[in-house]
Amino acid sequence: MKVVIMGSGRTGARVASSLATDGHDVSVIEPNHTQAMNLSRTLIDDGLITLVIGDGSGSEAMLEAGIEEADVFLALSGNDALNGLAAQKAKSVYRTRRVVCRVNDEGLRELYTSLGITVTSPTVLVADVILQTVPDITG
Amino acid sequence: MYIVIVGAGRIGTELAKSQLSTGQEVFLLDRDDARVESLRSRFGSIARLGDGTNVTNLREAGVARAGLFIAATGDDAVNLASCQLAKQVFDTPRTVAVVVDPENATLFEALGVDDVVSLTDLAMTRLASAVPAHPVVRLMPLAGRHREMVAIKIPAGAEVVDRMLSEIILPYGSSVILVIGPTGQTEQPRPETVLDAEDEVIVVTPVEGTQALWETFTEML
Repeated sequence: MKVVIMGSGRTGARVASSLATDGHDVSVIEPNHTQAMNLSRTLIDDGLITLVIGDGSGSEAMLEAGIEEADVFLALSGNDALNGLAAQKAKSVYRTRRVVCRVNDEGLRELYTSLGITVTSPTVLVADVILQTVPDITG
Repeated sequence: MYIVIVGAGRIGTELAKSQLSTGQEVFLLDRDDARVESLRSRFGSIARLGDGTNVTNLREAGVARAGLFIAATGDDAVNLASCQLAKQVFDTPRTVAVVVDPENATLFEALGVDDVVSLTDLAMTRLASAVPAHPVVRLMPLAGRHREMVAIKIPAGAEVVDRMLSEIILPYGSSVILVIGPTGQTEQPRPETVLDAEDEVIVVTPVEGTQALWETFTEML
């Protein structure tokens, strides 16, 4: 599948490597050269990950990353509002079928969910995992 | 009317000042402590520290009773998110977002923001008209951005010089609304109005007709 990822922080980079290794066609948009270093150099050199340096919610970078042919768009930067903008753009302008947005703020999570975007929250996930590690006090 | 403004930068602050002077009730939200303090020391408790993308902060700012919500931070994504929260969570009757990237203007309107002000478009309009040999100056979007008002200066030697308006075939849906002479005198356009070199025509046109319009008025003999 063709996957476009916005943001190559630790989360974005890990998701990108994993999908590319599984044989998916992965492009990553990242505005910041230093952040882009999180991506696997080998996977980029082997052409398994395409890196686009550019504004994560800008049409230019999104088109260069192949958003028009993408099956999935993942907005994974650490910025909730930016992820929300990019996700809505992918959905409404480029009609990407599956759009996932990383959001920490609770109010924004509800907002984006109501707009039909799949939302994932690191805070909630981490909290759940932590609670699972102490089953004796959580029941 | 109660107006909530997110972003107390230059735009937010100037806007608040002008609204206060006309007797409106204004409240500002900003992430920066120094900005909030400076507003409070000058105008009293009209500002507080807060994030426009956070529902709790918006509630504390009284967005629930706001008649108008304006997001004027320098971050387009934040402005979109806060306007969407105002609409969805607090049912604000009117939301306005400032954008830096002109691309976001149509997108944000499609995503439910009532009015979008594009800073870059505004600056380009002024800059283009300040350049002597400007081609076509986009003055303002109209009718939900389907139409626009533009200004075109007629160059000496253009085909339309010395012709009557009734003889000029304009793109479908376009109409000349004003003719401005080289010394600034304005004339209501009539079918028999004769165009001169250096006249400026103000035209309302469907946006897809702007290029053809420019060609019509600037094509050389």
